[in-house]
Amino acid sequence: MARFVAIRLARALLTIGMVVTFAFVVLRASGDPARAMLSPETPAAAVEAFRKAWGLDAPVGVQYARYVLAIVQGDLGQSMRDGRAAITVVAERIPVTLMLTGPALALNLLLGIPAGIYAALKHGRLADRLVMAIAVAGFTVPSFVLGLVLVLAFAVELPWFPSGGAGTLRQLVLPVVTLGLGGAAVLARFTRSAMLEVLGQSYIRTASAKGVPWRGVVTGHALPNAAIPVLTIVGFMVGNLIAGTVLVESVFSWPGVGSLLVVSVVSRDLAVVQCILLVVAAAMIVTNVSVDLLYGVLDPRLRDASYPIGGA
Amino acid sequence: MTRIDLTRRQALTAALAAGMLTSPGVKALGGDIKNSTRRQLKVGMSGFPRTFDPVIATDTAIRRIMPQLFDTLIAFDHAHGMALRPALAEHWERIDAQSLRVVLRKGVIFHDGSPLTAEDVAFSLGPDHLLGPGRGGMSEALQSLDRLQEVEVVDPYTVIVHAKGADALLEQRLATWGAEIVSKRAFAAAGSWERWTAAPVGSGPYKLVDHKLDIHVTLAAHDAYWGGRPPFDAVEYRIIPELSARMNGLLAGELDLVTDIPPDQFSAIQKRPDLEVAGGAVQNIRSLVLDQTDPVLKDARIRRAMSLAVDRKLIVESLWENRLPIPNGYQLPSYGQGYIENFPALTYDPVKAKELLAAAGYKGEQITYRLLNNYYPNQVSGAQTMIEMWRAVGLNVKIQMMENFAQIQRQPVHAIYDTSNTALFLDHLGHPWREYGPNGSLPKLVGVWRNEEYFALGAKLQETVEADRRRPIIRRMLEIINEIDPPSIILHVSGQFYGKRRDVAWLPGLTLDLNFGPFNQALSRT
Repeated sequence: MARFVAIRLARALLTIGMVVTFAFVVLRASGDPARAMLSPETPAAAVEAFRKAWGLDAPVGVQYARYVLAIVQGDLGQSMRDGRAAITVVAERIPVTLMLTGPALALNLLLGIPAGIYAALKHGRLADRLVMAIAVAGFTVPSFVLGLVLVLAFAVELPWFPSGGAGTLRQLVLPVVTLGLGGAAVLARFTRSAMLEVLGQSYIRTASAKGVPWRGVVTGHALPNAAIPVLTIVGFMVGNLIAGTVLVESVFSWPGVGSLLVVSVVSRDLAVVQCILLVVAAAMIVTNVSVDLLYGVLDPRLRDASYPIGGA
Repeated sequence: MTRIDLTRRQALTAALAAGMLTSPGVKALGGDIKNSTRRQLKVGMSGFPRTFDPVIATDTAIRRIMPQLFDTLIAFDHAHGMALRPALAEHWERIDAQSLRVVLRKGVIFHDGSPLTAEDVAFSLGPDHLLGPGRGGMSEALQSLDRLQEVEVVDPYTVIVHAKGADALLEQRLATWGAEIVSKRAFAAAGSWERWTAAPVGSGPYKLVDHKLDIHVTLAAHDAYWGGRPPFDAVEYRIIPELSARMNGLLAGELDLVTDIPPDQFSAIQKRPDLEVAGGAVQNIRSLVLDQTDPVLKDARIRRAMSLAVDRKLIVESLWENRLPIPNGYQLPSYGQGYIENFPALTYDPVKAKELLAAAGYKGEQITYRLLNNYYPNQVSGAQTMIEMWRAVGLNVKIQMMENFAQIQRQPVHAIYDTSNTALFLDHLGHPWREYGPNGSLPKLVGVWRNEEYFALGAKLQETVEADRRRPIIRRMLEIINEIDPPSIILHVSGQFYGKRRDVAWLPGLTLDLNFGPFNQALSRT
């Protein structure tokens, strides 16, 4: 078990190191942060003073070394737009995003999994086709299109909900529905596929032949076995909770991590971008490790460390 | 006694200031607003201001807030062709060509309750403030105030502003971006630039209450404002970068005013009886920079041909609903005596363009157009239109999409690219000179244009005070940048358009500034 944890920890650190380096290289290679941050009318002297103030006048290698050294010491830098510590800027956005993605994930699960199970159990019938048609529509319509349609319908034409912003329950409804419907559609399709595969297995036929009631076959044998691939998808969704909402946050002016990432990338607010990527990478790693552990709970064979499963 | 050389414009301004002196205080046009219940104003704005101090930066988002928080000594009157009017200065007078005596208004109260004195003025326009954090020069205000030598305190309500040399534009400099007066006491109390920029103290009609990065900026009325009671109880700027989200907020009735509305959204606003489009031309010129160091563009005839091939009238009619003027040269009528009325208009002459290309021996070599994705409204549509216009005269221009100005200006540039330039003060020196002068962005920062004759003329213009001596210099400078050695293709005067509720009385000004105080002509009538 210790070896299992050590390997995953090492992989996690390697992943974080790669993320940090990738972000640094890409953001620096795509333009001078001072020119990206400042308006095109900024005089040359002010640009130079800005570069000096933020250490951008040093060679890129020196900047990278300083950056890595600071991270090792727990300092993720300061926002060039805000002047505060980048971690403070990002940390105050995380609860706002979770306020949106938490209910959306719940909607994903509560709609998607039952719909997928229902479709699988009604395989080939009208109900199956109907559920799948809705699911296909759900995940083929881009979230920003769905969001705009919902705003036009339920904020502009019918003023039932605010068109954007955060802070009240009413402001939560449209973005959660936008985010939740797309995810539920994906989950419904995966759940259906997983269930159909399991329902075709011999142990299901055996259980039925032994006289186990159909409800018992489904809940006792089919669902637990179908849960592993579904759990993998849910793992990705949970991993996306922090930064997977860029488009929806933009459409609804939701002041979360996703919209912060967009603005920070555009303005080359390096410390903030790098901080977000670190947080997201950490969230992904924690989620993957949690999913690995849950695999073991769902399938006793996987508790054996030598059994081949995916990792972080 | 020192001889004072005043231009007619300065004399008129002084007379205006003197006339206004006779009243106990300059009231907002139409009087004050004491009676009615005030509403909160909700503004949807595209960007968050990265500072709340007036000298550090002059980004659009910052300028949309500054007039609410601060006053300058002298102000541009947007309702009267940008004439100068008294603000924190009750009146002013020239001592000589490089000094100005300014008498401060009494009874001006900062947001923290302290009174305005000459010490605040000396501090605001002195090196500890003007040079930015640590006197490091991180200050965009210097682009217009670098000619200030010193502010001498005469008594608590009188200062003498000294320029570094003769300066015909000293009054205008005191009215422009970055010349806002801050509270010296509050700055000292803040203890650091970081704390100060987060919560600055000015004397404007609204005070800063709260702000949160990329979310909102909230202001409350400063009822002790010297210019009269502010028309709104509070102003809330909501930061909404996405155009569709701003539009939805306006259409849903959640916002009173939204900024940065492109012409393709006008009809959606105009078909609603409760909404309207406001705005128009501002003191800013849109142009295309031409890299003089490019192997093809180094020939001025090719640069001139590119300009002659552009049908500006068609662009303005088709992309801007004919709402923007085309200037005659790199100048604006608001320059006053510095405006050369009879300077030739920008012409569309494809025949002459072809002749120039033939004379230059142009054989279809590629010219690269580094283009941003609608950083400026209608930028991509305009570029595509011009590509076809250039193709029609035989010019081979290819678009190369870029993400930001850092990429646009990456060396070697060897390309053309879009830019815009604000007239910080209304004169050649406050506008094209800022861009093309030796310390301007083109020669110094990007390094794509130099003209020694232009530089020498500009240096001479800075030291010349008399209008009749300045005009020939300005004309020659215009000839250089328009005809002889063009650093850019002038497109049109820039526009700023807003969507707003009809029942909100407010008039946009002639700059990027938003003014929700009692000096806004529409608000003074409510």
